[in-house]
Amino acid sequence: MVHETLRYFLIAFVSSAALIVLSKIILQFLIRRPADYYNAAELYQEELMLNSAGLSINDEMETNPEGELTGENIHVDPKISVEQAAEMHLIDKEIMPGLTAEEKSGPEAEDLLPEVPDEHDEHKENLEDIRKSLEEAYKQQIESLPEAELEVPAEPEEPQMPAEPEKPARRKTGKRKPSMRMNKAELIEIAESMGIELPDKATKKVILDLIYENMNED
Amino acid sequence: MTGMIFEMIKGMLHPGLIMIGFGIIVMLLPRPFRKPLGLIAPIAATYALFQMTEESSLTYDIASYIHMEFIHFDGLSFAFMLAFCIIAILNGFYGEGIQHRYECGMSLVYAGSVMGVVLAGDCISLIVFWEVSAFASMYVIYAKHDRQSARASFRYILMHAFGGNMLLAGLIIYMFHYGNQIENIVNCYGEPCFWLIAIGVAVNAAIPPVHAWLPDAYPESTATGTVYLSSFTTKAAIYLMIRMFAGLESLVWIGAIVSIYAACMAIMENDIRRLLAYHIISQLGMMIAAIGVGGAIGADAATAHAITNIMFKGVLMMGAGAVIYATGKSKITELGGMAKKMPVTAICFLISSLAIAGLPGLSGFVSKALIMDGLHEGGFVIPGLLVTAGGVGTLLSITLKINWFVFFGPCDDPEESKVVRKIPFTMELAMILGTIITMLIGFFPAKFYALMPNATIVDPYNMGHVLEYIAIFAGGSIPFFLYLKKMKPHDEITIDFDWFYRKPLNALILLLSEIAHRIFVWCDGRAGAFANYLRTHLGDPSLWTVNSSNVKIRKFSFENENRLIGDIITVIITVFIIMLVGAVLVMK
Repeated sequence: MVHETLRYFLIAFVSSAALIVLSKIILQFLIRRPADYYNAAELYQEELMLNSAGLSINDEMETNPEGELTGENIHVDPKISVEQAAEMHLIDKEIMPGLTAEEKSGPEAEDLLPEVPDEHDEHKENLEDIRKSLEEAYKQQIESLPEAELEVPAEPEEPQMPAEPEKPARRKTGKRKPSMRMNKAELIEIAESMGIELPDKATKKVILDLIYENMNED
Repeated sequence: MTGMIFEMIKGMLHPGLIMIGFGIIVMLLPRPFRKPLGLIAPIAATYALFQMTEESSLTYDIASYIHMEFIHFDGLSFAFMLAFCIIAILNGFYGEGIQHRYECGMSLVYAGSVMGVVLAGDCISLIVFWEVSAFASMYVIYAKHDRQSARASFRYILMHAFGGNMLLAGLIIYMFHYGNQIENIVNCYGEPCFWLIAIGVAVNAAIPPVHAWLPDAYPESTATGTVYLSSFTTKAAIYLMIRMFAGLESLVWIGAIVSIYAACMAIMENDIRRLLAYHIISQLGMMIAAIGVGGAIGADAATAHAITNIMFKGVLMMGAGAVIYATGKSKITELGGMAKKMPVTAICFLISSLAIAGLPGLSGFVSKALIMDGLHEGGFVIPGLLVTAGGVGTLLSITLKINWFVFFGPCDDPEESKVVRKIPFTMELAMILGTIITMLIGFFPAKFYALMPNATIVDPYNMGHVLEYIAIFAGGSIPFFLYLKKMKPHDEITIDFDWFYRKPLNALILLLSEIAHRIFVWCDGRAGAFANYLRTHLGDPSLWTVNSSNVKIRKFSFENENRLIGDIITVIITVFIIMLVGAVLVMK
């Protein structure tokens, strides 16, 4: 009996020690995580989904004075604006129903078609180059100034940009604006209506440049 | 005549349906009228239970060949029903005045549906009550009405829906081949119905790897809800395992490993109820090992341990719930020195924790003696050692760790663990009654064994057994006190098998949702653009032909450099000439 008692004592002692080592030393490093390991991610996902629907939910359902649950723990925020929804990529603003006439007047059918590269896009590229060079020059100028002259780091003024060439104005007749997609006869007709003198054997590109030049002058 | 009718009604009284009926009434009545019903319902159910005999019958025929039997009464169902009724009465005291209307009602429905599972005599009524209990228990978890409990109840019902569907599928196949009666299916080992039923029952019995719902969901319920939850679902699964899987030897090893695995996990826990939840799993492992032994002693050992677990685990959960109710805190790191502030709770918790560890003189010793004897008789030496080690783990985590760090040990921050509200007297009364029952079972083991289905009799109070458990207590306690400073838990959680559906599966579902969302947004955008395109083009048909070759041809003049139409005419004439020459040559 003493032998059996000692045997069980040793079994218990070794089991206890093994369990403590296994759980408090080995498993502690393997499967123990911060208290909010699951909750933090789940709460974040929940907030994203609820905010996109303009909802917020309290942690506990409200009760009336008698302790009865009222079922009210969902609060609906004022509806998000069209701009906010567009920023959140929930809607495509250009085709959103309920827009004002001004908002709707933007795109027309031809703008929704696949764009063909326009030779006059090179104007935009030139403008970008000008902008970058001005910014670099401004930075160099600031860096060259002694610190005493730099009092409060004011926000740099945006460099004076040359006016972007206006896109060819829409013709009052409602016809399409001149572009390389039109044939030469159409371009000649447009130029003649604008009073532009065309050189002999002028190409489509030359005619188009003259038309745009005339428009810019206007 | 009246007497005959009365006898007939008595024979049809179904305790589970009585509880469900009262639960529905509680949810409908206003507060002053429903207050006592939480206690009346289990008392009425207990009365109905004692009116039942083996001849009791409540049947319903769905069709000529489908027969539902709501009452199948024998020794095994009586033992479980008695334990359920007693704990339901104790819970009625415990939750008196603090349970919300729907929580009280659904708790009664939950308890009643589990009673329906135990009394079910056929597969159809079994699965019906099984599913009702799953949904009722889901609400009991949700009853706290906060974000954590809502999410936990959702995960809970997902797991139980999976388990319930497996069980349903298995029972349907079983019914097709073998009939509607609930019988031992060990002989069907390897068949699809066997595996499906096994998986379905394993979910409710919290056998790893489908066990993580238990420590995840039970601590999120209210103080009273956890007491209900700890007593019913898992014990109903054990009942069904005794009916259907008794004698399956692999269960001995499974149960032994589960017992030590859960004890190991419990030692690391910081939340009291989560620790106790892991211990439910550990104790279930011991019951499963006993079921695997089979025979009369195996069934009786599992039944005895289930009943004693219902009692002392119920008191332990009540104690934990009382501490949470009084302090608002459930973490061991935030509690300490509670014995002075809540002496009744501390003493009841201490006695019940000694019972669960198997101290001689208490109920756990009596039921564990049956389990160990059964394992010894079956020649299962290593599983016996594992079960003993599991018991040592129980001693470490509940009896020593919680009692020392929460109740009887020094308090690091008295301000942090102060009692903010006094617990009701009914809570203390419930704990005292439960503790008394635990002690009575330990003092009168023979009477307790007589309640078992096979009335197996062993002598737990022989000198060998008593010295064995005292040695276990002493041997298991020494390392705890040697390593005392490190035994205090940290404010962390233990990741378990639920990681697989809370992280990667969740991420996969979010990814699929994001992909679907982006597809729908793309379609929305293009649909709007397409609609706009149709609007403009149908309004001005000339736009259809703006860039077409036909329009170019019409608009061309003869001064045009392209001269496309001239080229087309040239090509046509050239081809005609070639064909003409070729035809002439061929004819020649």
